[in-house]
Amino acid sequence: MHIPDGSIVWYQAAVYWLIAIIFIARSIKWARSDLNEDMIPLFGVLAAGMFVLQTINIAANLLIPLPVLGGVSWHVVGAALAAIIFASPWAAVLLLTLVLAVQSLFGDGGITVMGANILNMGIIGGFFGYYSFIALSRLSVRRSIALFAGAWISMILPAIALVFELWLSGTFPLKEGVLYMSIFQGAAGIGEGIITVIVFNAIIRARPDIIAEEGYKKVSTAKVVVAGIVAFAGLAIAAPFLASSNPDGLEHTTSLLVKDNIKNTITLLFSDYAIPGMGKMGEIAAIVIGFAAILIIWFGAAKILRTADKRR
Amino acid sequence: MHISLTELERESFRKSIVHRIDGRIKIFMTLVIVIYAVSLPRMDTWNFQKLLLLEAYLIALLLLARLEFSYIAIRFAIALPFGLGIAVLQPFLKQPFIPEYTVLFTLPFGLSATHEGALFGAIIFAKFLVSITSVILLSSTTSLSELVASARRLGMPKEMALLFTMMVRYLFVFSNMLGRIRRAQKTRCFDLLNKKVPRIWTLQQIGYTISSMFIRSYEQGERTYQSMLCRGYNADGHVYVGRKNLRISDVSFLALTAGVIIAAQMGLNLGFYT
Repeated sequence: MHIPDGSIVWYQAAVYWLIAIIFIARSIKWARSDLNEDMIPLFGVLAAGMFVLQTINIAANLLIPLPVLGGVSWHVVGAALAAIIFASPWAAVLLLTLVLAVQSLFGDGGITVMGANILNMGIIGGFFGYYSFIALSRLSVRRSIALFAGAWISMILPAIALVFELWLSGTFPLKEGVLYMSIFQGAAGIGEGIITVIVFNAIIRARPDIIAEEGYKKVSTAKVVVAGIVAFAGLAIAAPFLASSNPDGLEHTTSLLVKDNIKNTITLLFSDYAIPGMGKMGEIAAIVIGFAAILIIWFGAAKILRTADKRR
Repeated sequence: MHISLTELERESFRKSIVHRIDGRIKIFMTLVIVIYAVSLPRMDTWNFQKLLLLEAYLIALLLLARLEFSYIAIRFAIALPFGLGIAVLQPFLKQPFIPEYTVLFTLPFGLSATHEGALFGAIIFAKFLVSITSVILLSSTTSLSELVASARRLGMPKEMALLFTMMVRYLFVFSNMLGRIRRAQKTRCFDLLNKKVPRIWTLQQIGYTISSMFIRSYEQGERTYQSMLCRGYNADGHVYVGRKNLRISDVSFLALTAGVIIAAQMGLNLGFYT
C-alpha cells in the first residue's frame, strides 16, 4: 500500500504533496483549537503508539484459510478507527501523517511520494471511512456494522486511489490494477473491519471517556452528504476510464493532460471524447444512475437492518 | 525478518565520520539526492550513468559509516520488494508516453514484454534504489532525536516539531511495551497460527493487543500532557533546541555531495560517460 519513490513522476508527486500539506495544516489547527484545549503533545505520543501497533503483522490465512496465502500478512492501518474515536477525520490525517513520516525512514513508502501516501491512507481513508460510518449511524444501522463498513471503505478507496495515481504516472495497469488491488485490499479490509469493531468495543468498555460519542451527533447531515457526493462523483468520473474498451485514447489524453498547458488539454479532452450521441457523458450519466440505484439499495438494506435491530 | 527500533538506534549511535556529520546536512543531502533521482527524465539511457555515480557515492558513505553488514543487508531486503514489484510490471505495460514499442518476447495469455517497457522499468528501479540507499544512509547514521532536532534547526514548523519530538520520545517505550505484551502471550502459549482455537478468538486477542496499545499510549499521552501543563506548557511554548554551528567538515561534506550531483548531471557534457 505504500508507494515507493520513483514510481510517481515528480510533478505529480508535488501535486499530491501540495494537497497533503493543506490537509496537514488544517489537521494541526484541529488538534490545537477545535478540541477544547491544545492537544498536540497528546497526539504526538499517540502517534508513537499508532506506529507501534502498525508493526503487528497479522497472517492473511487467519482470515482466508488458503495455503497460497502462507507468507502473506497485513497490518492494521487504523485511519477509520482514529477518526471514529476522536469524532473527526482530521485525527486520522494527523496521526497517519506522523506514522507515514517515520515509516518512510524505515523504507516503507518513499519521500517524494509521501504526499500521495498521506492523501490515500490519511485523507481518503480517514474522511470516507469516517463519513460512511456517520452516514450508516444516521440510518440507525447497528454500530458494529457501521464500524465494519467504515473501516472496510477506509481500506478499499485508498487502494483504488493508489492505482489511479500510479496509472497516471504510467507505472501501473488500470483495469487489472483496480481488480487485483480491490481483491487484495478488500480482503485486508475485512480484517481491518473486524479488528476495528473489536478494538472499538474494547476501548468503549475500558475508557468510554476517550471516545467522543457526542461528536457524531454534531456532524451536520450536509457534511455527510457532501462526502458522499464527492465519493460518488470521484467513482463516476473514474468508472468510464475503467469501462472503456479502448483506453489508449484516454491514456493519450491523460499523458497530454499531465504534460503541460491546461487550455490545450481541455480542447483535446473534448475532441477526443466527441463520440457520436452522448458518448462519455452518456456513460457518466449511466454510472450516476447506477450509483443512485446502489444508494437506494443501500437505504433499503439499512432499513431492513434497522428493523432487524429493533426486533432484537 | 524485520528491523527493530533498537537495532536502528544501535546503528545510528555508532561512531564514524558519517555519523558525526551534522544532521541538517544529512537531511538536506538526502532530500536533494532523492528529488534529483526522481526528477530525472522518464526515458533516457543516460540516467543509468548518473544514478550509478550517485549510488556508488552513497555506498561509499555506507561503507565509511562502518555499519553492521547484516543490518544493511536486511534493510535492503525489506525495502527492495516494493520498488522491484512495480519495476517488473513495466515491460508488460503500454506506457502512454512511449510512442513506439518493439516486442522483446511474448508470454502465454497474450502478454508481451517490450524493450521500451523494460528500459522504463529499469530506470524506475534505479531511481528507487538510489532513493532507498540514501534513506537507509540517513536513518542508520542519524538517531531519531537528532533527526527531529535537525529538522527543527532547518525550520520545521513548531507544531510539527513538537509532534515529532513527542512521537520519537515514546516510540521506544511503546515498542518495548508491545514486546512485553508479546512475551506475556508467548508464555501462555499464544500462537497466531494455532489451529486448535477458533480463528475469531485469535483475531479477538489481536484486537485486544491493539486496543491495549491504543489505550496505553493515549493514557501516556494524557499523563505527559498534564505534566507538561503543570510545568507551564501552553500553545505559545517552544521546545528548546540548542544552537549548533556547522563545522568545516560539515560544509566540506555538503560541497562534496553537491560536487557529486553536479558531476552526475554534467558528466555527459564533460565527457565522463561513454
